[in-house]
Amino acid sequence: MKKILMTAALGLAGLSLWAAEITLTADLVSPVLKAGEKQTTWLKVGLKGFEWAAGNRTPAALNVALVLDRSGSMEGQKLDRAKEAAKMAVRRLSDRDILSIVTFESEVQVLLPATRVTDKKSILALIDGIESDGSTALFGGVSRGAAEVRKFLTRNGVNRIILLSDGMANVGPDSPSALGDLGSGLRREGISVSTIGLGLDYNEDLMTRLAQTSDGNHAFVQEPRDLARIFDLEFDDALAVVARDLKLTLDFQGGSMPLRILNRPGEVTGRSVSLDLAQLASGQEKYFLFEVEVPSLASGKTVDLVSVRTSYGNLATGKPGLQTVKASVSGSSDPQAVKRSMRPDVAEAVGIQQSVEAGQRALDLKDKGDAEAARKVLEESAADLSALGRALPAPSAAVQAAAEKANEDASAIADDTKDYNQLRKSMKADQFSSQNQQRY
Amino acid sequence: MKARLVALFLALLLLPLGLALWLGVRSLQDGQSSAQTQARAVWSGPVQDLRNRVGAFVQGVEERLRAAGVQDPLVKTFFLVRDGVVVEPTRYRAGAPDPFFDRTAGLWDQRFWDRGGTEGALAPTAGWKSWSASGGPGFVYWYRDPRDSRVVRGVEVDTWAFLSRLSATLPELHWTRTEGADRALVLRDSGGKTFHRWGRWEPGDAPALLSLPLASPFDGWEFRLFLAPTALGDSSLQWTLLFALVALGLAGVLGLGAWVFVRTLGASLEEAGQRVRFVNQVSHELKTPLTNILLYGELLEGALGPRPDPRVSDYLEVIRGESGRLGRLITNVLTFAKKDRPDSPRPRPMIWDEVVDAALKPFRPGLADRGLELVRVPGAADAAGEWDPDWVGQILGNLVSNAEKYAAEGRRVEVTTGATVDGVWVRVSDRGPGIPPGAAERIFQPFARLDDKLTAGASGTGLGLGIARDLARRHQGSLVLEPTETGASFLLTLPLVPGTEP
Repeated sequence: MKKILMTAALGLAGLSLWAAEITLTADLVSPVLKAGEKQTTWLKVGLKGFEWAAGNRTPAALNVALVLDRSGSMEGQKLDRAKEAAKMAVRRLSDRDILSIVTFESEVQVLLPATRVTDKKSILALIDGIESDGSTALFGGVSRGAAEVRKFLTRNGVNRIILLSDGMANVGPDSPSALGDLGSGLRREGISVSTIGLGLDYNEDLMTRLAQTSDGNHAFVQEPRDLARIFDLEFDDALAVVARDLKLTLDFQGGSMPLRILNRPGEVTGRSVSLDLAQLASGQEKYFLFEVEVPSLASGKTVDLVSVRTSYGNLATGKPGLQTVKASVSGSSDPQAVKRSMRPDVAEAVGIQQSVEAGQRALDLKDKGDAEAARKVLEESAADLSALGRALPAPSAAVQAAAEKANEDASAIADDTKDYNQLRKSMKADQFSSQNQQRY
Repeated sequence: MKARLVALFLALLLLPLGLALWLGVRSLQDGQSSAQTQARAVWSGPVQDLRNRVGAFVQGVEERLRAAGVQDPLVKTFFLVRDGVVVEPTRYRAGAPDPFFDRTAGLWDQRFWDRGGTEGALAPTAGWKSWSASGGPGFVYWYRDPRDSRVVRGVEVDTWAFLSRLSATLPELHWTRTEGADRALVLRDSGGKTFHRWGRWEPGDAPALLSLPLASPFDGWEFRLFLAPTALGDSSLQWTLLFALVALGLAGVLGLGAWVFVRTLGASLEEAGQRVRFVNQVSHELKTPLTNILLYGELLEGALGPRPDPRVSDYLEVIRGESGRLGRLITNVLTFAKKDRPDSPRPRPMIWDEVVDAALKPFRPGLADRGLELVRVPGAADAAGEWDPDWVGQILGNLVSNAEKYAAEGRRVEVTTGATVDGVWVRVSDRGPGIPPGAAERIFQPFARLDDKLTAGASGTGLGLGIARDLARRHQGSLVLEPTETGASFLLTLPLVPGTEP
């Protein structure tokens, strides 16, 4: 009897482990479309990381390189706070994690070659010894950080570079496109770069591009005192990763055709789309929005629209995972039925991403000197969001907040007394966060 | 007349002055240029090393690319040329030109794989092609198929993955803060932009002291070294430098000597310290099991009943005797390490002969086993005073167990006691091989086991006598080795009451 119970318990434990897989969804903004005409609509493909016990880090070990700017401009409070933040991060790591610390100014130094975090005291003392000097060899710093991470590259853990810089890269390659290419290369190796911009003198285009192409995080930290909090959030994120190397394949059917992907890199050619994500954290939902052209449908007829497949490395089980899902669409001549079928979560995501797109357009306009046009774009975006908020069956806090933000940005972007540099950095960071469903 | 005199005077004064000045300036300039020559000589080696490192890096990449698959992050595109025609990738795919040809436009009209060698020489079998475009530099590596010379295989490398690895290959030069402030070594790319840099000195328009171009595929790249005048030094500095060098040399020799001395001393001190710490810890750990062995030995004896097998009693006796010995050894070690020892004795009123007899008691069975006769000559049955019986026990224990270890062949250990007006004494003498005259003091030093046949085969910590003497002295007495005809004889003298001089 006892043995049977044991077996049952083991079976249950096994089941719960087996059940810890990511959730894949594919939903149209309205799965019922007006019959008899060709139209475009939105498809949301969502990937949600399974919940890992709150407060507990996932089984994934960290292999992280802290790449810290110690150029002359970091002197004083910035460097002090950066050191504090780095030390706090070290304290969070355990002896199965691997850490390296690279500092850069005009030169690049490996302060701590990649090593298991067993002797925290020595590491903290090393951090204490960092002094500021010189210019900003950002490319060299990231390259050296990558070389350190590469020493212990793991398929069952999180390989990450955390870059902190407060200035323009002025020694070595410095163009956003070069750093962007570097980021895509690193991502192919399974390394992400999270970039933290400190103060008002860094190049936000470069920093967001690097984070974007490598699928890392990005944050704008205006005040040095906020660094510790951001480092904490960044390590929260790294320690919560439950799946990595997510490959997503979509096959569109029934004459439907993907037109574009909203706010995420990826090209659409033909009816088959392949995309990937570097990682997914516990409870985090990342999604892709596709604008899809659907052929004319007969009323009452349902056709398969797309089949979606994702494969990934499950860091909880250490095994590959695979999920599939299909979405279909039906035609109806009843406008009420079309309206009723609306999926609020998809509509919300579309609204938010469209506002991000509008924000990017506004920044482009302002960069070209047309502040008035930029303001107009943002105001329209705010109005669209408000309209969406009213159309949704229940009020959405996210939509509400985005609408308010767009209004604020609209007045700020046309206000010559306001610091555009600061606004641009904060808008860029917010756009990045929304666009990538960053956890913080 | 007067004017002539002044002119003459001026000429006499100014001429040599001017000459001296001119000479000074000349020598200064000479010094400057010779300093530059020297600096060039000093630096060409290290910079050459860096260039070799880049060369080795490129070679490593070439080997890697020949074996690489599409997954390799260094690979952007593979291409294949047969009979001078690009067959892969396909130039047009789905009606649109492959972006590979956009990026590498300008390469294909050159038949670069046939160029290179001098006229009439064989066409090269492998090589690089690099170019500069608005999007950044590009690099292509190609090699002739070893099985089919009409086929050229190539790889367009991922520019930034490649350059990132180059950047990470460049070593740190570990310049100090002051060194870094007056020099700069820069790796410039073909566009004249700094790719990598060591040192923080900003040379402005100053010419490079040294420039060393890189080999293919880094055509147009070069290492450039800049030194600030302070780093170059001038002629007056050269003398200082010479003096500094001589002084440095002298200091170096002296320092080296001192270093060797301190190293040797430090090492042996450290070694001794480690030995003590280790023995100390081990000994401490041994105490608990030993106490249990003794305790359970006694329990076992009690459980044997009224008429035990005589063999069992014998065995038990051995166990107890040996445990006691082990206990004394451990006590010695811990006493030496000053861990378990009270700093001063705790004297109690006692009769001297009784103290000695009690101390000898545990040794009797052991001595008998080794065929040693313990001859007791009591002479202090009336001597009453105050002594710490534990300390006396430890001192005598060390003396007797030495006799047991080293003088068993003498068959006899004599323990004599006596009293004087203000003190008591006990003499432990054996008829063993004795102690050579030169070693009389050395035997009291820690770890001083005499390294001759005397101690060969005998075990011990080499601590006993030192501890015994130390205890005696701190009991305000003394322990000495007495000169004898045969064997060894130790005399322990203690005052009647500690606190009065012995």
